[in-house]
Amino acid sequence: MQQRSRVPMFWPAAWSGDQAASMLAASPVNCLIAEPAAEPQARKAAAAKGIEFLPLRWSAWSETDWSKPSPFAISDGVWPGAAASQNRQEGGPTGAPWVDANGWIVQLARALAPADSEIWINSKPPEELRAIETNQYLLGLAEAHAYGARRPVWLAPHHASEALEGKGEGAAAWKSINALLAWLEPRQLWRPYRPVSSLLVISDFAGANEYMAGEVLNLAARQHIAFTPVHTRHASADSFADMRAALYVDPQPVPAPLAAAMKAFVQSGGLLIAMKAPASAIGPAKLTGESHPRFDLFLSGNGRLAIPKQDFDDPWILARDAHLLMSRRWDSIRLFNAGSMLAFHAAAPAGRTSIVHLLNYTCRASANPVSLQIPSGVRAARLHTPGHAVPAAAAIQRRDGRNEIDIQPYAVYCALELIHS
Amino acid sequence: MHPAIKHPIGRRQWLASAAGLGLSGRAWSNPAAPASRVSIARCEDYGPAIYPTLKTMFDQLGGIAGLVKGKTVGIKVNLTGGPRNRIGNIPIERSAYTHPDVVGAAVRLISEAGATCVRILEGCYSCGDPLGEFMYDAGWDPMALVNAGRRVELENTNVLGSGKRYHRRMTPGGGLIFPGFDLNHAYDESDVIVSIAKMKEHATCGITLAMKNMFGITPVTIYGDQAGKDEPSPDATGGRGVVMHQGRRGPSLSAPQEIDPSSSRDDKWRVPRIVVDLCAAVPIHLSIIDGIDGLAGGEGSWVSVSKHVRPRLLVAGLNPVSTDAVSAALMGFDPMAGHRQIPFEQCDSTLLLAEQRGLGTRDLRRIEVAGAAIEQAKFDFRSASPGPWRRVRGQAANP
Repeated sequence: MQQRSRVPMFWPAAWSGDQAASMLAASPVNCLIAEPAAEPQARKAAAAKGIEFLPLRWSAWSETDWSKPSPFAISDGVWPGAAASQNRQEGGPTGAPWVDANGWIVQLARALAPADSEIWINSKPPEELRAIETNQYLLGLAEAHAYGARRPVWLAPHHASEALEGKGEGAAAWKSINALLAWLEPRQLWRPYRPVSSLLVISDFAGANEYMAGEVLNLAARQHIAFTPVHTRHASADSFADMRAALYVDPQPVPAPLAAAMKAFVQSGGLLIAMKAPASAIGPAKLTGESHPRFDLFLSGNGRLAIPKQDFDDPWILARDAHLLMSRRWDSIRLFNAGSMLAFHAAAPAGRTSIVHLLNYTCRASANPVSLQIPSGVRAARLHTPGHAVPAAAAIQRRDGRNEIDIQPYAVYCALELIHS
Repeated sequence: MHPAIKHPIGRRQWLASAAGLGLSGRAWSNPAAPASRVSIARCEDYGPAIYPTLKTMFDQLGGIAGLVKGKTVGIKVNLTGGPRNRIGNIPIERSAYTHPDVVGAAVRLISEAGATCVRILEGCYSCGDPLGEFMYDAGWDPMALVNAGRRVELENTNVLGSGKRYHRRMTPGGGLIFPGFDLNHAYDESDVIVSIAKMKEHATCGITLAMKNMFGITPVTIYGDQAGKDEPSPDATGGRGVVMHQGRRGPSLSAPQEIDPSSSRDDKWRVPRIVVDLCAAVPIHLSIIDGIDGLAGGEGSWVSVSKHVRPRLLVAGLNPVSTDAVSAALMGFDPMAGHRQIPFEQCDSTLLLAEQRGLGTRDLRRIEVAGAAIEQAKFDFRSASPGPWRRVRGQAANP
């Protein structure tokens, strides 16, 4: 049985009176943290409530010391949202709406930290504090949950004051936050679930490799490409299980133990995408007749090798190329009319259950119906929707040879539980 | 050249002048334009029924062996718009895209008729992804198409693909807008071109059928919004709005440029003419219209009044103008309608321009119809949707 994990909250500076600790009376929050200015009040509230106060040192993911005990508090996340909801006109190279999302950082942190570590993610708040809506708080909490992390509860100062007074948007936001936290608690058992993906991304994610490797993950997520990151040091033969392709991002040669595993992966039919030095670990390979604008393609054993004609330089294109070289055929799910939504598919380490987390970065229910194509072996599905204690059966539609589930409009988050045959 | 094509003018003024010159198109017919038999079949749904239905239709056309035996056949399909954008929950192959079951049945029949190579071709929306990968993104299994015949290849013709250079196809006798086009090698290497289109209305051209489908053969590396200035861009992104629709810039300078850069920039005047240029430069030998499902009111989810309809029809013919004319009639329209007349209320008629160009007749009196009769198979698109012009003008446009 998993131990109940911490539910952290940044204690608001405005919550300083004798009544403040009572704000936690009906809240799942069980751990307080604070900015220096609010630390005395936070300590006092924690003591009054009998819960933990945790002095934490936040750091960027690239500067985090993963050898220390968790929680690992990562500060360089983003305030999640879609460009449109924040009145911006940004878009990706395909014109798709841009979303600010943290899933890739959490996935990376989970790959770098010891197993079962607590990962906390945070970011600077948006510049326009007065424009923050309740759903944006909820998105931050739900997003972290979806990827197996926590985002500390935080309230903008004006909302914190209103919540303390029990009025206005702040009070409503505080109520909604606690309702979501309570709803998420029994669903913490999904936290150890691992990403369902066919693409392994290998790097040491440090020094000169930090930017390219990090951005490949960031921009792969934006393109709805599922991946599993792994640190070069942690990668082993097991890392390649169920993978169709491995992207070795770094230009340095592959360490010997990993080289053997990588070679075995290619010999047995996998695709390795790597620059010339690390690709040499595979040994002799035969050039194929296929033409590609950016890669030379080789056969080796039952597998393939893709070596770039020039060193990797554009993480967006590299992520896209890796996906296409592997083939979209291996995508486990497809989301239609997704707009500014992201989906994260994770599966129980052993068992027949997987979860598709669906996050809507606009924080508004979509006008267009959303459909999710699911794997063919799914025999039943249940939709978990915040506000509903019991999941609802989700009908699996058979459409032109595909299995699909229609997702009812949702503003922030829902999760589809898939039961596989 | 008619003065209206150089200077956009008011509809009333244009209609008056066109009527005076006898060019509005209605009742005008080019007796020299070739006519060809068109086959119509009712087909209740996608699936196994399509193969025998299409086989019968090809037989009604006199068989296709003489056309394809020993030949390389290029099949231009219609995959308009992003593969994950739907109208409601309806799969895109039931609304905007040619359905893979229709493509698969055609590939099988063409292969069985003796084609040595069949290439499925499309300039996919805003990308240079391999065509099979684009299909996966729509949720299709492209291997079902590859395995539908002998030596079946897929190519996204937005980019060079397996070719080393772009191939130039000139418009015989000069074009209306472009004297020629630089295209992916597959169109030049095809002995036979098949256009498999979807039965849809269109926000720029009124209707989109076999001829309008050819608009997508232009590589966006040369004719796209982010096309290279001097040479084709290495990557394919963007649509065909800037160069083709609006003419705000020319294609890459390496390609043939517009004949008259001072001509109208109105896309409802330009696009029908560019379509005719393309159909002259790359003649269509076999047209197949997937009208089992279709779209009324527009060509894709981005046209707000687009509505999924189920005409349950397949149409095939050896002449694209005649096939499109019969299809237009099946959609409830008069193929003899002139420019700025229903269904071309705010555009010029591609059918009229193609007929004037001598590509084929749109005159139903000259077109022999096999299979189902038009009047019995007709599906009134305008009863399902007010037509595409509401989006354009913000008003209910159809009288």
